[in-house]
Amino acid sequence: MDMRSDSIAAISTPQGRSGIGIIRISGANVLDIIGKFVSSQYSLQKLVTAKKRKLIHARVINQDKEIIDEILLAYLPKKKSFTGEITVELNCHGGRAIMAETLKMAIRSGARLAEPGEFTRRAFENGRLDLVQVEAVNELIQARTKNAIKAAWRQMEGGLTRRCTDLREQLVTVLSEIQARTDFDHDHLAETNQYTKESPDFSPELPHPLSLLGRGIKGEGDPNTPHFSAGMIYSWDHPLRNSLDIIKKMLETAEKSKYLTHGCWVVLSGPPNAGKSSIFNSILNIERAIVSETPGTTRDHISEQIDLDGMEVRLTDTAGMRVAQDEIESISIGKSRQQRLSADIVVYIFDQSIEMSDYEQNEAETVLKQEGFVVFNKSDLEMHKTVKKFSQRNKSNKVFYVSALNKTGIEQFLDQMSEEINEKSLYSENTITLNMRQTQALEKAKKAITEAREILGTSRNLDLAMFELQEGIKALQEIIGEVSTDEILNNIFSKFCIGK
Amino acid sequence: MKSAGAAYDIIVVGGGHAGIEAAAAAARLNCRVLLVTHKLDTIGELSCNPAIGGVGKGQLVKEIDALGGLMGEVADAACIQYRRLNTTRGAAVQSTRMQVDMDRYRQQAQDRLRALANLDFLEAEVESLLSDQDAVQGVVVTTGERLRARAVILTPGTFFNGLIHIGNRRLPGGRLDDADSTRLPKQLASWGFQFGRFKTGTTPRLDGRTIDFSKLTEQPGDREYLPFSPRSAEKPALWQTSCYLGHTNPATHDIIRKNLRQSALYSGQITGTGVRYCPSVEDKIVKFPDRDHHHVFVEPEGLEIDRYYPNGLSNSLPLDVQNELVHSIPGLEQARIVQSGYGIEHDYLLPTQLRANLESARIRGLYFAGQINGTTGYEEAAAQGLLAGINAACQVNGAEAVVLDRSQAYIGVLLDDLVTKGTNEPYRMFPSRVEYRLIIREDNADERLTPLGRRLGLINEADYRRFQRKEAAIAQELKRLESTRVSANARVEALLRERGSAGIAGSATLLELLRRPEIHYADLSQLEPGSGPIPRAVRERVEVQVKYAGYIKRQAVEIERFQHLERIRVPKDFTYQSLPGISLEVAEKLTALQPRTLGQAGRISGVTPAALSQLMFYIKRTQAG
Repeated sequence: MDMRSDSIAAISTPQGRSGIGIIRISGANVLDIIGKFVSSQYSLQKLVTAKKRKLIHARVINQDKEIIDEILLAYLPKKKSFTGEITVELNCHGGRAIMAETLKMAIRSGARLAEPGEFTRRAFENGRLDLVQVEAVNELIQARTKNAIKAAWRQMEGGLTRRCTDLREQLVTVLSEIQARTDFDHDHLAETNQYTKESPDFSPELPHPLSLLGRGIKGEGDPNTPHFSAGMIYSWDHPLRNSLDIIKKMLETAEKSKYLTHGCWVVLSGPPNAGKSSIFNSILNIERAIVSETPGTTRDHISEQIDLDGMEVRLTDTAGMRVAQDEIESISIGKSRQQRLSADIVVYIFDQSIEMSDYEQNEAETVLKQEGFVVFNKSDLEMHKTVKKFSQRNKSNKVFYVSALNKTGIEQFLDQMSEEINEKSLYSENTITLNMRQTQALEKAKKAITEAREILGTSRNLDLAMFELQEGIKALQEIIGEVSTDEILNNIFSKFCIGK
Repeated sequence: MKSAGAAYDIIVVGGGHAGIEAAAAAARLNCRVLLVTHKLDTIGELSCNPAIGGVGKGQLVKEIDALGGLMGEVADAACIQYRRLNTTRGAAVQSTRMQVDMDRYRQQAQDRLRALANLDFLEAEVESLLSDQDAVQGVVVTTGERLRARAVILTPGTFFNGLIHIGNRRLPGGRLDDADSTRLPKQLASWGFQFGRFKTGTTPRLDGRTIDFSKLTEQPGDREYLPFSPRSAEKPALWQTSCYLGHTNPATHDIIRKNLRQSALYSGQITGTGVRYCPSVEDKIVKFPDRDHHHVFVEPEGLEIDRYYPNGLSNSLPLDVQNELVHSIPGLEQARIVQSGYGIEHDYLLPTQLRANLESARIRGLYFAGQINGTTGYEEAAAQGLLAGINAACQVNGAEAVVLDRSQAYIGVLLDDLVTKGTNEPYRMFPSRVEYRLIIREDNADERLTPLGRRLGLINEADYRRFQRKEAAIAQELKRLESTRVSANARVEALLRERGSAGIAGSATLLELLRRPEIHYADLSQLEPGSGPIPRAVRERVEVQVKYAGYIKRQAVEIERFQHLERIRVPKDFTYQSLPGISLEVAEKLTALQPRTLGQAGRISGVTPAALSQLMFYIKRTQAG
């Protein structure tokens, strides 16, 4: 196979009718390829040597010499392109047929249809991006709120990469010191219990010749021979503990900042007829819905995505929580309970005009304890005395009184929730976010370092400590992509769309 | 001129540690072998320190022995001090080291070679190779005699353009009092072989009668002895002696500093790269100016020799300065130097010109082994010699090449490093070079390699039976530990408490107890006095296997992953030039080295994981297409 011809092509803009659509072609012999179906008054070969890069006007011609489209062609040399290879972008008119025909011509002229994520994969393989940046590209594309965009850019700029390389350096330093210990046995100097004054147990084949000279073979040894000091081991503990602290902090902040990448899940719960659905709809009227999901049955839950001050929030309206009246209801209540458990924030909604049972008071207090909100609806009606008592007992900035009917109090509640989410996500300019893969690798590194410390602290099995440290180093390298199995790479790049 | 005498299958040039193993292995694999060396008396000479083994090297000796090589048995027969190193640093990095009697070692090596029916000897210098450019055909010696053979193994050690330095004196030679070899390297260079230049050195030797041992610290060997080879007697054959520890001091360091300009090393006279791990005393003083003392181990060269090797004083200073330097050390004030220390520079072949079986890529049937390939150390040389001997014999016998991979043996790592990465300083073996060292250990060298030695025909029936008995004993002992339960009682609890170990609820098996880091094998016999004495080799393997079980399993998974890449063959004459993600420089390297497997390609410097996955992608596509 001639690998020189392995240039890839794909439509990089969404399919359908649009003002313009872009076809991207990347590879060593891109110019030969477009030379076969693109004609321009400007010499394509001149693009290579041109000092200034420019868009040139050109035409796409099919095999029957018919004009398919008039285009603008951008030429990107190896060093300036996303993939790290010569890349040409054809800015066509965005018609379905035009794009399809032009792509067909590119393939006919020697390009291959790109696989999903293959452009980015080439950027990675050519060293233009590390693995964290590759994932950031995808997160950037997938970002649905402005904060998610910011988080993705921080990854692109190398925050996580830098931390991982620093940590790796620390571990490598400790590892090489331990290696020096096992590679050089103190110039084969005895360490601890190897000394013995007794003669070895053996019967020699020959008499010792020097013993005939009357010179003692076994002189008096010095029992206080220097030996391997335990202090050395403890000096390794400091950098290890330090690395561990950094990793723990990274995992902690990442856990809190997961809303940036995954959004925050808010579940509305409470007894039936408390007005959950009305509140749900009021919120949707105030905030912009992002995606609309298919609603379920009346007994099932309904979810909507909203953009709450730049933070992605999934809002779920659950079935009413009460003692189940029938089997179906019990199933759906069970489901609500489950959702409540896995939600990031629970909002317990109650009709303030009716009696609050002990069971319900208990439910509400539990929600407050778990840093959720309690919202009393129907503030337009008189407050029931049990609710009054509850309010006096639970003075909290997380208890709200709203009226879905009059649309009062809901904005204040949303402001407070937004603040809460922002605070919980530790949103700040240097928050580092981690995706699942990165978190897992970091957890692996944490476990390995913890084990290594344990081994060094309790035994002298330096061989095992080295093994653990190497595991830790590997895990850190995995994050950046310095070591990567095909499996990891395939997994990452398969999440991309074709044309990126 | 027609060849005098019969034609040989294999000619081995050189009688050092590589040459010995190569000649013995090939002869035992039914090849007619001729060993040519310029002095038959010095076959098996220990030119530097009188010791075999050491950290990383002990593993090599055990592996050589497990495959049926000679070094382990010879060392056992000449052992005058046995030590196990790294005993407090984990089971997987422990190594055996022996002080040996140099005369006895040489004599034992020669005796064993002479006993081989297929092996002839010739005292001569090889002047050139016979070759039709493509394949080697024999050698020409200085008398003009042409000796034909189907394969030639070159093991010239430090002799290629060897240059000895003592102060500003320069003497051509491969070893003190031995001539160098210049014509053969010239011919090889004219064929396009590339060489580099390394330097090494040795210490002055001291007369035992003039050393005041009372001022040195005695270092006896271990109480418990375990020979390298299961074929050797269980007890040492010779009297066991001690080494003696002394120290340099500021006065010593001043002498060296004052005379540094007279050192061949620092006057600029020596240009080769030195052994970083075994530095000369000048190096130590210059590189560690803060240290006010360095160890000097005074090692006996033999029982009847009464000559000592002051390990740590390797230098290339003039003799009068060497005298002054030695005399500044307490205990050596009166010591008489019987042989001067010296530095030696020599050519080495850039080993990346060899295939994984140590055959040159350029000329078929021409093998290189030992220090010529850029290594340092007897053990590294012997390991290469053994593999070169086996592979030359396989070639002659029409059998497939024997290549050990990095997950099988220290030898595999050594050869792979040399032919894949090359080396820019004298290469010494270390456990840290071995990725899978928790599984590749000294104690299981036989388990890993003896079946291969048997298949090749280097391990005889009786020895293989012994090996099988040992493996059975290990399995049986593991079973016993698994099935023997001890119940909680006052005696047991007391012992566990004493070891700082938790008590047992009801009962526990011996295996469960041994798994605890704080419980040792010796404790088991106290807990359950039922068993008879268990041989050390069995006991040690069982203990590692039990205590490291979890880690061994994890490493086995890694090995599987490693072997997966090792099994993917790179097609011959694969064109790397156009692979995206691979720079032209790396592509050229890959083209020159022609890696056999994807795994090997990945180890070539400059090949990134990204480039590797790219390569894998294209290999798969090529295969699919």
